[in-house]
Amino acid sequence: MTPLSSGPDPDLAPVPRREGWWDRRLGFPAIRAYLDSFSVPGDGSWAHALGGALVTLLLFEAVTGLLLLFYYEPDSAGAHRSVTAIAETVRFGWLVRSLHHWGAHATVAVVLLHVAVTFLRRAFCAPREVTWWLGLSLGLAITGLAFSGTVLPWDGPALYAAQVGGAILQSVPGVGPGLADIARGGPAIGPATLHRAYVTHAFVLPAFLLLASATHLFLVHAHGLAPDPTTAGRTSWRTFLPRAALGWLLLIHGIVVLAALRPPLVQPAIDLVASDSPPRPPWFLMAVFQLARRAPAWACVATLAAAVSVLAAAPAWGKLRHGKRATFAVGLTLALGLLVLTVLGYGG
Amino acid sequence: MVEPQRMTDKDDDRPTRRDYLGLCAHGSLGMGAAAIVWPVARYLSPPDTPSSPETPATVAVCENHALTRKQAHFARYRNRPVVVLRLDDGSLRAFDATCPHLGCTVRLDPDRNTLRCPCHGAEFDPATGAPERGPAVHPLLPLIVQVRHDTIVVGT
Repeated sequence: MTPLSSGPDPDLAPVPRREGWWDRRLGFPAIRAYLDSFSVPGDGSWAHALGGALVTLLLFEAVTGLLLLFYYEPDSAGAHRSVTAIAETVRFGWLVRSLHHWGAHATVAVVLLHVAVTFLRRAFCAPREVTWWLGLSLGLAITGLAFSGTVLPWDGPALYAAQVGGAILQSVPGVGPGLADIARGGPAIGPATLHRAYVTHAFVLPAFLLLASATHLFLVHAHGLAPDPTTAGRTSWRTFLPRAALGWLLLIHGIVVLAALRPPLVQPAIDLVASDSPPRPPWFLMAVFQLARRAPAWACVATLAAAVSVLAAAPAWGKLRHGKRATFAVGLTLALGLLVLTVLGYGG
Repeated sequence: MVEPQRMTDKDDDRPTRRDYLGLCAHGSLGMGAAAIVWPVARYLSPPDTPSSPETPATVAVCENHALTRKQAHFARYRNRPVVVLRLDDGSLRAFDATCPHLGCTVRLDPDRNTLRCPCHGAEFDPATGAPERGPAVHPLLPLIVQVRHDTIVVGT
């Protein structure tokens, strides 16, 4: 939301109201007056509510994650036992775990939408480059959270995630082996791997998310949302926020329904000698999985690095003469590539 | 009369005092950052554990008669999964079971007579460990396997 250029709309001017007890102590009138200087571009499309949806989802994941921490034991002996206990004996444990699980899926989905919308609207152009880069790093951190979260139950899928994640890191030229050792806590997967995944998932990435998203939000406010190229009109926050909040509420509602109907199963405990659970990644990693079935490790790393680099360099190539067409072409290529690989991954 | 040209910073390609001090400031910031990042990275990368006398050089997998033809047994040797299998001709083979493609643990597929990775479908020749199909380009790492006192032992 950005300061209105032409002053507040007289129709939307706040109705004077009597100052209440809380108003005098917490200064709500001043906050209201401040908020009245904000608006969103265009007719207040749902596309502008995606960032707020992510804030809502991350808070939701933080709360359910904290609840899980009350029972989760972050060591190789207790991890699987405590996750089983949460799912089977703790009252409403199955629901909290399921909410955290489906909330994570929803977060990744909304991240993809948010990136797609801001990219196609060319919101990465000056002066919003740093906002764009911070946003990309937030997206990567959220993928990292989803990935490290897979390891925490210390079951079959956890072993596959750790093995493949470690091998992908290891194949990065130069620093790869060192990075893989840091991620695994040694040359092989073991109890140290679980502990590092736990520290990363519960402390390192959330702390980064908190700092980076605060800066991201500050910059969004400082520069305002990218203008809508089709219209110069604006929508007051009084119209936009209730609509957006309804959308966020519906999103959480959908997660609750899904979580109640489809709690994730408890997989068999990890077996470092020969685990037999079928290795299938979550939907958002299916494209990478399909790539890995067809290509050596270095090619997977190169493809991922190229995709992220093209997005990160968008402010540079986006301002060239054919920047608009290039944005469309790059967006289409990335989206089609992701879609085709995902479909092939489920088919094969 | 031509006015004498005034010397300004921009006319001169040589670095100014300001440039030099800026370089010093950025350099010391960089070195300060490196002085933090380097020890932290070293701290995070786990120390090499020297192979103590307690780490066995060999691992007993199973009794010799327990492993029949076209069958595989798994064990853990030096913190890595190991597959031991008996070929059609009765000879033994042992490999590091870590798939050289992306690190999953390979399985024996007795019907197709291959060692197959369940993750991305790489297949290896059980006699040599050479890659046959799928995305792997490197062979499985062969290990020394022998029978001692009717027990199959991996390692030297």
